[in-house]
Amino acid sequence: MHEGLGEYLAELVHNSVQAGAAVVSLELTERDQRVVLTVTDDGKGMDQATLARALDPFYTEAGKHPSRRVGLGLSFLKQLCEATGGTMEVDSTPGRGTRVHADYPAAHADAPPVDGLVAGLAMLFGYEGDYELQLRRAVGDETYEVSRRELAEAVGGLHTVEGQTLLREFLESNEAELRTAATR
Amino acid sequence: MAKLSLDDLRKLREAKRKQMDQRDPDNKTAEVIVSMGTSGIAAGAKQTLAAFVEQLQAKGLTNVSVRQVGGMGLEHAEPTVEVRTEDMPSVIYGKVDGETASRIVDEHIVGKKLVDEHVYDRPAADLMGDQ
Repeated sequence: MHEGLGEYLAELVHNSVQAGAAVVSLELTERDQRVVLTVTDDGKGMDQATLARALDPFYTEAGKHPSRRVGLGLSFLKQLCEATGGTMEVDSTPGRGTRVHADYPAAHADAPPVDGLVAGLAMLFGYEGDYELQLRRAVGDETYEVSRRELAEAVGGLHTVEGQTLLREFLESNEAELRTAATR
Repeated sequence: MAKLSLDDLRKLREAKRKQMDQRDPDNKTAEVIVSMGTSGIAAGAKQTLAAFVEQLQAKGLTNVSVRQVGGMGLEHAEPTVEVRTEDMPSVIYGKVDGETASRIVDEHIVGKKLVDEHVYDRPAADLMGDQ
């Protein structure tokens, strides 16, 4: 289990990037005391056997760790949904991509805190590779949307100190506005 | 903080660039690579990454690039960080929390001295495979 929600999201997006996705979409919504997240990518996808392995945290291929290519993100998310009484769906098609959807009660004792989400969201944009990430974020009926390409252009590159700092300021201000507007 | 738009970001970027050019005329290049695979994330790489960005920004070291990769093969020593500078060999540091990140910025990137107790050997190539 991870410390915060951002870490779960980072794992899922990293999986998509490693699967060769050109476009990754993340929708993260907090509404009616629930957290709902959907990650969709156009990466290489998984067949049923690979998906079963991805959902099993204890799977290894003949003990060779480097041969594990599916990460622990899905199995951690499955564990989270089981612990909180939430639901999780994974649809994946080889050659077409993967969609992961989870929905769990936000206030459950085993639900990861959303504190520190800004640093977690910032991680999603910083992995190596020429991938597009479309983030759609909502708290109640308040939303904001941003894409990795437009952010990179606006801040002058996401791997510079300046760019990372501005990225965090952008996310911080938009997250604060979401929460303020949602409580009005 | 008021909600920032992308246009606001462009203006802020321009303002910061002018400010930094005045503070750091040499602006030596360096690269900080943070391992952000499962074990790195679980060990606190998020805080490590944030600490590097904050420290580098605070010291005006704007020509340092900060990158994220998957595992480096040193899961027992996460969070791990590779530091590349122009005039020193590439070094992998392990067990890098926020405080150690600050030391690496001060002692390695600025002072050109290794933070010895956090230096780890690079894993053998056959262990890393195509990672």
